[in-house]
Amino acid sequence: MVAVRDEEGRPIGFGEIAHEESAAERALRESEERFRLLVESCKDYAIFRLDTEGRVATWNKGAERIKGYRAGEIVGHHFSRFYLPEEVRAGKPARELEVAAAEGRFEDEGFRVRKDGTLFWANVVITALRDEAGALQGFGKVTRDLTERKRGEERAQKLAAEQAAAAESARAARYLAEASAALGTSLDREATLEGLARLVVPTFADWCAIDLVEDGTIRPLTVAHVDPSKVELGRELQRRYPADPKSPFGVPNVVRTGAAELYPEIPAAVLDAVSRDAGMRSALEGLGLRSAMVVPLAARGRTLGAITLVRAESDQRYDDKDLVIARDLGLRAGLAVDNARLYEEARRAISIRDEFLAIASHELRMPLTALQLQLQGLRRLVAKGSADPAHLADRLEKAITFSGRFEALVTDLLAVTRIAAGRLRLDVREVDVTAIVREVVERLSDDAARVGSTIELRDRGPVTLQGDRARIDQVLTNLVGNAVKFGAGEPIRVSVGKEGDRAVIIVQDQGIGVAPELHRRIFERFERGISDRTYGGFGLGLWIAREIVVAHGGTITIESAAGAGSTFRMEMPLAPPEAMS
Amino acid sequence: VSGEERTILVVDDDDDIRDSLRAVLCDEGFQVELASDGLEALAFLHHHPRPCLILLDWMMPRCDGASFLSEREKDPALAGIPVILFSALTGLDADARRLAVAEYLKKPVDLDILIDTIERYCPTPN
Repeated sequence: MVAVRDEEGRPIGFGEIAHEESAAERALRESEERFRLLVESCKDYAIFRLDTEGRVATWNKGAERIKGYRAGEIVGHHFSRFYLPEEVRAGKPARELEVAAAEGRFEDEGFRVRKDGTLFWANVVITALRDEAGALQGFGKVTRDLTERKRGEERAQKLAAEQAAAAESARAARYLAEASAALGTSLDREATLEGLARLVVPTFADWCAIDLVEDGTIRPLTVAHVDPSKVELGRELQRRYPADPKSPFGVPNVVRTGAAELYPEIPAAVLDAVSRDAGMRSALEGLGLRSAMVVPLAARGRTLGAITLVRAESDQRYDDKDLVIARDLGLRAGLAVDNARLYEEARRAISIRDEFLAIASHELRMPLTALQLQLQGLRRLVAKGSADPAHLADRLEKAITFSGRFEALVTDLLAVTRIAAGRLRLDVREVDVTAIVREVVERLSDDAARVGSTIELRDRGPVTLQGDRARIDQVLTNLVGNAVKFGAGEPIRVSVGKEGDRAVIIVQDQGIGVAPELHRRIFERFERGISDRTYGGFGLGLWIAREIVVAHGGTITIESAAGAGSTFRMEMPLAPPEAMS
Repeated sequence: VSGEERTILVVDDDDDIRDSLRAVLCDEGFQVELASDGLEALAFLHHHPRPCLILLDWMMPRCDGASFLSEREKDPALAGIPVILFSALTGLDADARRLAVAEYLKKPVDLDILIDTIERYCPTPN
């Protein structure tokens, strides 16, 4: 019902008129209809309306496809069912509406829940819908399923990570190859490790320090840094603050336990623990050390030292992957060091052998020269027809004596070879030591007499033990022979007896003696250089003697001072040691 | 040639070699004096008429061949005595030249060669 008015607006009657739609109204209606159809038919986007409380008011094809509900199942239900339960509990859906109401729009990316409970990765835009007066009418919600895009991104990320890892392992492999090459260039241990330290900085570390264990102590070998002044500083720190072997961190710990240490960040506690005083602490502080690894330098089950790698000014951090590389480096370097050691030992063994051959050939020439002089002299005498039988007999006797000395040297030589090869075999049986001593004294009495000396034997009763008769004879011949040779013509005293469960033989001369600083060395092999050699023989007699006595489970010692004579004391157990029987 | 001119001084620390040299050289008619190192040799030379030749070992205690030769150089009275270096060591040629050694024979030596060499410095009187 409408009032009908004239042109001035005065009412002229009432009439019920059919509403005739204007063209504009029709156009608007048609446009809205098209828009509704567009929204409803849009399959790629879930586009729907929520009322002011958040209940679903409309639903489109896209929403049905993405979320799995048909319109009849979801209209009127609260939209929070699209969210993860924990997000609902945390009040996320309500908060999103609050934000949209307050700011006009809310956008988010995250997991949303389908009807069947599965998750999808969604981009969500919530827009506040208001009437002309600005009153909140509800919310428009547009949701896109980004699962595919998300998967693509994840694949791309994974691919990038894999590429980075591949590049990293290629770098590590290249690095280790370079390190191996550097380690293989020299058989000089120190040069090898210094080369390694230089190779490590600055690519793998800002600082690299290498310490070696020698005779149980840690010795700093090298410090490397690109800046020489810092190298000097590092060396100064090493000099001033030698590592505390009991330290629970760093090189002492790694050397003790053989386990590597990784500090992605160097904790203040570790800096405190390794600092010996405030000066060291502030010096370390000043270096700006950030991250560190200490790995063992190991080979054949032994820890030979440690490699310390530190990141400072480069501000990088070490991780587990770096530790793997560093450990590998430690093993390679350890092998190189051990190879250098073996090479050095082999070279030393060869040089000892060469020196021994030189000494041996020289010493063998002595009795050989005397022997040849006698024999060739004989030949000349015979050729001249000089035939005084006593004269000839004297020459022959001398020749026989010299050939005996030659044989004794060859025997020594063989003994040395056997002992050196660990093949000294003892022919063990019950031996009367007193009888051997008596025989040796008798045998050498003539030699003693020739130099104006006498040998006095003090026999303190019979002594028998389990041992090698010929070897014990060899030792005693050497000791008494030395007393004759170095006894300066003074009387020599030999005694043999039992002390507890040991046989004790003492050989005492009053000759030139041995300076105390040489006491240990006279029992060593080839201790006398060939040029210092002043007396005949290989200089091996006492070494052989000691080896034989030790093989019997005994000991041999000297008491002497230069010019005051020497007293050799030889002790052997009466019962054979386990190893010998 | 007097008897003294046929005297040879043997300097060697090896008893057996020293004794053997004395025996064989005496058989050849030489007079032989013995010293067991350089010091004994110098002491002998200072108190006895000069020998016609010195037969010198190289490696000896107290005063070795090199030290003895250096001392000999300093004393014009001794410098003129010819020396035969007699050693088991090889490679002493440079030392032998530097220290004005007349001959260098290696141990062991053929006795005929040794005597021929000695004869050159101490000729047998006719």
